[in-house]
Amino acid sequence: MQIKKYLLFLMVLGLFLSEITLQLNPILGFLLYAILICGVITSLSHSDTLTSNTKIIISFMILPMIRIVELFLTFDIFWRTFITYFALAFLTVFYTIKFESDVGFSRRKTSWLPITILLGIALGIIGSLILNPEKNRELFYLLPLIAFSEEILFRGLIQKEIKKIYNSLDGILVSSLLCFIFTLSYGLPLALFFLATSLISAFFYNKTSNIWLSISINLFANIFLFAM
Amino acid sequence: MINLAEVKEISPIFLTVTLIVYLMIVELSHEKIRKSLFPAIVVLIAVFLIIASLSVYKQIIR
Repeated sequence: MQIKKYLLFLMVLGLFLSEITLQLNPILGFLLYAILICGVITSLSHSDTLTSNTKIIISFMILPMIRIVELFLTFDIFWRTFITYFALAFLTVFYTIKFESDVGFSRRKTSWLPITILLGIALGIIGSLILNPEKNRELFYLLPLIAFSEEILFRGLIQKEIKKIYNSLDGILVSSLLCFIFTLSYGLPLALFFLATSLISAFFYNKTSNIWLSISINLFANIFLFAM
Repeated sequence: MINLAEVKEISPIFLTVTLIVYLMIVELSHEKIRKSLFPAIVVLIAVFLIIASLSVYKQIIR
């Protein structure tokens, strides 16, 4: 049995509302996220096999956990980002192995790599010119970890599983919306920029099934947006 | 038991109760699912431990 499509979008809406609440009132937002994780674990407790549904639900659960880590660790930005994305990388790599998912560590269509790198650079420069975000050079060393873990989660785990159950468009839409929600803490303009980057990255992943192309778009966009 | 006095500060008691609830639900689920959820729970335990320690540390400093 598959999750009904409206339930999938309701889960996205739940995450969105929790994130908005987290921005307005962190304590209430934390409570909502804690309830959301509880709901996810409870719904999983009835299942006895690892189907595509359970894989999607587990992947969804990673997001509130990571948001809690990011918001409530009161270290400086470098260590907070490092711990957050280290936890994300650990979970995504573990679930990639556990689910035996072919997330796309392949050489398929590697000839597209220069295009995706140039596209990432162009997106980063455009974003930097329009949004002019605060530059933080110490984050430069963490950008590969950020790009790697985000793309494995949004493309390799979420988009691929949704594509398997529904269709490519739903996979692209849901994974990009989740990326938008995940980056809302940077403010709406930057979140919209990440939504656009995510949509392009998702499109390339959908066409090529090569995760390196998506990682290169994310990495170069972030480098030119935040570090250069 | 949520400490509303200061934003971003959550009572360690609340974190412990939440974690126990999670552990109980996970323990009641099927073995396959339990094994899958194990690393997520480990990360949650580590995170809650750090948040609770920071909260207690701030209260001692104050």
